[in-house]
Amino acid sequence: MLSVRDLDVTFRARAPVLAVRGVSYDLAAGEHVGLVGESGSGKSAGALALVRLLPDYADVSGRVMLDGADLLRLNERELRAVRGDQVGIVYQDPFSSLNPVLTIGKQLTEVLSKHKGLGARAARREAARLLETVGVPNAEERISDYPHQFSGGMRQRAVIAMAVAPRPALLIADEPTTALDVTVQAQILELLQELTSEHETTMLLITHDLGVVAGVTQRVMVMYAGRIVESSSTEDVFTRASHPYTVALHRSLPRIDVRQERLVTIEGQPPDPTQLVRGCPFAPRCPSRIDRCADEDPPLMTIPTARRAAARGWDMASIREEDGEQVPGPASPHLTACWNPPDPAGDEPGPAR
Amino acid sequence: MSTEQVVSPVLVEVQDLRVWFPAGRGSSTKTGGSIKAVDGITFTVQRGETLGLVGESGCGKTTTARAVLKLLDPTEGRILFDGVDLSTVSRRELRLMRRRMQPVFQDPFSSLNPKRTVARIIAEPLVIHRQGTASERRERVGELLDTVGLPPDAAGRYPHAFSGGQRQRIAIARAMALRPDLIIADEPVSALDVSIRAQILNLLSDLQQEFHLTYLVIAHDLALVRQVTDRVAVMYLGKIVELRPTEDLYRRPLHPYTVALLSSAPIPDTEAEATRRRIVLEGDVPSPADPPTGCRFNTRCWLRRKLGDPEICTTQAPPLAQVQDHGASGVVACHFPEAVEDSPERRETLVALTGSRVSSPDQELPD
Amino acid sequence: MTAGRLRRLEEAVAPTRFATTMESLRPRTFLEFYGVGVIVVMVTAIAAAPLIAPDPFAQDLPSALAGSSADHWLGTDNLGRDLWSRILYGGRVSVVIGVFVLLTAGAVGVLYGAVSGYAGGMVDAVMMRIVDIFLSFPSIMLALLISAALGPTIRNVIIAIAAAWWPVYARLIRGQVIVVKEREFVTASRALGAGPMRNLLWTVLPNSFGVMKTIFVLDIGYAILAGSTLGFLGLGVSAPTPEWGYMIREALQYPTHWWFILSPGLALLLFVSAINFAGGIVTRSVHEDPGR
Repeated sequence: MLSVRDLDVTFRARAPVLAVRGVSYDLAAGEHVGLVGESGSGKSAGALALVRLLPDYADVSGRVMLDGADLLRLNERELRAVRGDQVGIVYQDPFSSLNPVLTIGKQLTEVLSKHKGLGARAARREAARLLETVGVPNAEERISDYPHQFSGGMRQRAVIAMAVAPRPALLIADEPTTALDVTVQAQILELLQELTSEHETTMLLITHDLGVVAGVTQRVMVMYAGRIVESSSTEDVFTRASHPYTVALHRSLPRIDVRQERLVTIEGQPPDPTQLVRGCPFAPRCPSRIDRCADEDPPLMTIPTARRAAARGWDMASIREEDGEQVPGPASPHLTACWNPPDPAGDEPGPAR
Repeated sequence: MSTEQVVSPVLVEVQDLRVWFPAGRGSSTKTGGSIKAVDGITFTVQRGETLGLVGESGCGKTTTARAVLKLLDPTEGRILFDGVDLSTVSRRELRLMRRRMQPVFQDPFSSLNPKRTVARIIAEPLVIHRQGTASERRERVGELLDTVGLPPDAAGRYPHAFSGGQRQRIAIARAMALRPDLIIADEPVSALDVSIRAQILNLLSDLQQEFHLTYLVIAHDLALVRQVTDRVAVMYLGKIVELRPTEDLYRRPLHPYTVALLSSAPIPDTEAEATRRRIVLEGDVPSPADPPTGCRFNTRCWLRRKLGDPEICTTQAPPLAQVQDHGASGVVACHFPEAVEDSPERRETLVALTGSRVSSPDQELPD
Repeated sequence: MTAGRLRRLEEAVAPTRFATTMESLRPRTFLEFYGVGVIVVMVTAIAAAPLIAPDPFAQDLPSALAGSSADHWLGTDNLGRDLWSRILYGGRVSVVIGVFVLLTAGAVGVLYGAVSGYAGGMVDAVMMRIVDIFLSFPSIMLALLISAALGPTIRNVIIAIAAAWWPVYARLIRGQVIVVKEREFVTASRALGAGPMRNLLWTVLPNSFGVMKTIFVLDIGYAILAGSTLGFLGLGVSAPTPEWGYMIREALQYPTHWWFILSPGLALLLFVSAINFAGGIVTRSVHEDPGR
């Protein structure tokens, strides 16, 4: 349904920031995919670039095909139509993504009349129904409330209502629960899950929290330093993580089930995004680093390919011939961008690895 | 100094603390009612321990911390620091007190003055309290940088040259400058990247051992709280609902709200996430300007509904009652803690948290 | 990636502070170059006036109201005084007025506004009402009244204009202080035991100046204009002292001698506009300041 190829995002600044480097992936209709990474990993920039919602000083190149059209080549008017109709967006901060001077109802009806061509009265009825669907109690009355009269969780519900109102084919949720409390977070995730399954909406869920993707997505792509470094089914990311970064991330998470003697740390800092990195960007912090990591940036490949490549000293070009550099998609196998992927620790489950 | 050097194990004692803010713009407590941010809480912080304050936004945990730091004045109640009532001390004494308790804030991007070099930021407490000569201070700054794991050349640079984790190290160095007894850390790592958090938490734990620090840590991340605290106070709408040793609380929570919090925590485990049933709290946290009568949690309590809405929940505020649990004591404010204990909701929640490492949900939960 | 996070990235890669500041203060557009150029030339000429111009008070009545000549480059005025010289010496008066008005009004306004904003509550309310009273008069009228009451000397002109202007700065800085005092590093400083005075002067104020810098530079120009306006209305610096506004007033009586009115008029226009253009640089540098 959505196909992204060689997406590059660079922020022009005194020293240009290389936010996203050559990211490619496919999404199938109805899939729920998580995009996980730390701040600065390029996860948000990469997703907002799909619908060109980045500031002017961002240079975006590559191809983003949605239903046969390249979103990066559309003009402003065509793009506006795509944004509401085909792609809905839920932002992190429900406080700033609603207009404070208009009532919730007004903002909803506006979306409805623009994208569905509903008349004023029909739009209002539909707005109330939508608010009801997303779990706002007394929707009929609260429709004339202003955003500040809503709590954080209610606001995020309203934002979600607005995003799903035109029944978009793709929903991009950018850290939708980060600004919310845990008890509310659980509710919002459940709501997103429900709404998207109901209409077979594809969802790209962007988060820094591995715990958030665990219950909601089928596939996960892990980003580091502007690249996708691992892609697999959600289950595999948790049980058989193959990229040293993902493994380290799992280990460093404080565990809720047992008290640890000492937290495991990932030493060092993520690389400076203004510098072109030679070799693998995680190499300086990587425990399973081998010689070639310093020189060659590993592409996304299957784990057997990676092992064979390392063993036989294949260069990148020959890998493309042998097994094909892989693009994460609905049917793709477990992929890793590592020359020396650590052994999965058997069948021992969960984050215990 | 008194001759009898009896050191009390209690460093901070908070007695029936209330902090009310006038509601609405410009109106006073008399006319417009008030936001009861903290409404009668009592707890102690023992020397050398880490006490966690957890709860959702608006529960009063940050207000409590600020009151202990005397950054705002309590409406009612007393805060004793090392036996001295903070509300009665003179300004001069307060300055001396301040040396002994230091805050570490959530966002290291806003808690450091952007116009100062790192050396000046770290030396600021020394300057304010007229400690040492300029060269002694310089030496101490070097020492502190080393303590928090920053290179000596960091001293001459400005905060903007550092990443979030490094800035938080700078903030910690500043807090350590006066060799305090108590550090109050408000969400010390929640603004940092996931891969950096463990570094900072380990640093805090190392400092605690080396310098015999006492911590009051405010956090919303329950996994983190389990790792770093000795005791936990769970707050809801300006009240403490449960305060118990950390392991007791996580293994045998006794308040329905604590159970709900644990049930909402995301678990990085697909299997657990797929099978668990969450306790979904209905509605929103009520306004602290107009809290519910009786138990404050009654409007959202899953247990109350199960028990058929007993009247006592809406008429009487449950007192903090002592509970003995395997010899360790704690307090909980619920009329029906036994019902929580027996509930399948609690058992399910705990099973989900421990993941598939528990073979049978019926057996006693493992240590 | 949010703009905030991006800015932090930019900050993280910024070179040293001093170099950044110098770099950002370099003129970049034509108008900025023009502004800086004109200011440099005019200030140099004004400073070097005794070396490059004759006595501005020497009267040469026979050649009064003469046009340009080898003796008098810009001609002479109605008393036969050399206009070139009077323009340069008049510039000294203007620069002094501009700079001192800013210093006086700035110091009073900033201190007043900072105290008001930091204290808050009733103190703030009362102090700001006083400011409102000042601001409810048109500032030039206030300056006129004060100047008329005090008498025409350079010092009194400065006092008059400063008295009319400080409330603007007071209000501006108060707004900034109210924002900055809520920032966490200020709370941190309080928790360290810093008293209110120390906190205000060392922590809050240095972080409240951002917008002020721009306004200060632009206002030097306006202060010069205001000084000239007073002179033009006959309430500025008294007669023999050369001053651009007063010169224009005198020249008005001789409408046929266009150079007489053109020279001070042009000097005023050039100088004030140059300050305006150069002010753009400061605005830009404030926006780019990483520690802002």
